[in-house]
Amino acid sequence: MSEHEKLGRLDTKRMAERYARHLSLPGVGADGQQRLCAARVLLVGLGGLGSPAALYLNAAGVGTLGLADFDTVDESNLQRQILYTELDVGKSKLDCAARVLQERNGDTLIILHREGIQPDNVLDIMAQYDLVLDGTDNFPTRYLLNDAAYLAGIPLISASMFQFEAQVAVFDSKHDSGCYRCLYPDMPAAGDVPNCAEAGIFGALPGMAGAMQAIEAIKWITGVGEPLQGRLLMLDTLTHRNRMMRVPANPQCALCGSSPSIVDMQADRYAAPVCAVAAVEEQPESITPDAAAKLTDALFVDVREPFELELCRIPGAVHIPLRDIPKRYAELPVERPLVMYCHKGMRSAVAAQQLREKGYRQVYNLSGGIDRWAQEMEPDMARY
Amino acid sequence: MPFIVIPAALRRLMSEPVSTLEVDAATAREALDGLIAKYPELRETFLDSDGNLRQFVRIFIGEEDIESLQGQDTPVTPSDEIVLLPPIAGG
Repeated sequence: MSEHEKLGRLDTKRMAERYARHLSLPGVGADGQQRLCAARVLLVGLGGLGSPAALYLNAAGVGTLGLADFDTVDESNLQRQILYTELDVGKSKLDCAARVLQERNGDTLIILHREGIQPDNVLDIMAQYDLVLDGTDNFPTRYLLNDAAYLAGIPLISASMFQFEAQVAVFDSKHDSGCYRCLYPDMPAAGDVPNCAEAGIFGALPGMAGAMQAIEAIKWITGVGEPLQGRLLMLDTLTHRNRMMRVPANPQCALCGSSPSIVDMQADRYAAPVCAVAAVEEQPESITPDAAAKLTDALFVDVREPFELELCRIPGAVHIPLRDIPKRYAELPVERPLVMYCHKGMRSAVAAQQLREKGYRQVYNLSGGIDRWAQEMEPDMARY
Repeated sequence: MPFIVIPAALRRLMSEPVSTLEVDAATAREALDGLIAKYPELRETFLDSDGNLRQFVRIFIGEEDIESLQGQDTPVTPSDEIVLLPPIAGG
């Protein structure tokens, strides 16, 4: 039976034509393509790395692609995040990515995880997938994905970047490979690693590293070649002196070692350190009352106590007292700009930071709070 | 002499960044001491307040992490490449 006929048993002639270059490829063939079509891959982070990884996995015929990202497209993303166009600026990355991927391959089942990847849902989400790709931009999520992938028993294909360099690795506990914690036991402390926003990133680098993640995923799914498990590839695009390092399992590892202390997904383990990698980006922006009033589609969020609302309030604002934000952030839309305010701006700064850490990107802290708003925007408003 | 490969994430901490540094060293410890002597601004990146090696940056000789060899006592030869591998998180 020919490779085309094997595929045809399960699928259509159209599929055989579409994947002809895989069918003729030694080590892939119809069996490999069938595995690709049946595979379920979760991509977390649809930025520089996630863009090429998603495009290539989708093109290769991976049957189910799960996508998770909180972000909206920013103008500064376009220099490297090739899933998006100028028309997408301000829109949800998930929606933009889903549209592009579906247009490019209508057979792919695209699943959007709008709820985001959190300690309390990550294991349930990972149970729906065969492997996960880490394209995130912060250490807390990297540790979260590493721990969850190990506990869920699926491989983690990791890539990360700094300026002109990248690290690519496959962490697969079933194949005697170390995990991310074997390599880096503890999350870096504040200030240890500079942030990407200030350090910059070489535009085409994620094209390499994200495509390598896709290659490793396709290798793992089809069984072709030698997977990168237990090894880390260090890419240096300035010199192209790339290096391969071994990452063996560490018997002392808190996650995958012989006496693990990490056996479940405790949320506090993944709280962002004060800085981590994205400190500057994570600082909520302060916004003046005038600028806030001109924000398109902004939602004002009042974090004061109920009695304060009796004194004065901004029409249309939703009310969530500061202490309830961690329990009720899900009520706040990620795709709309949020203007957080309190009386003078201190409590709302805390709330804005909490939302930032939950992945909200368009969060503003109203400078001077409702007190300044009253003075500058509504002189008739009561002050206290 | 063996030389140390210094990735960009560590170079930015250096007063005069270089991507490689030759060191006169017979062990990993001597190599690290040589690096810190020349660039004292890197001390806190590698050593805690007691002078012990932090686990923040991994140190490889060739393909092998020194922790899977003899730690800081791992011998280095003149032809060895000592690669520093800091965690990076950009995506």
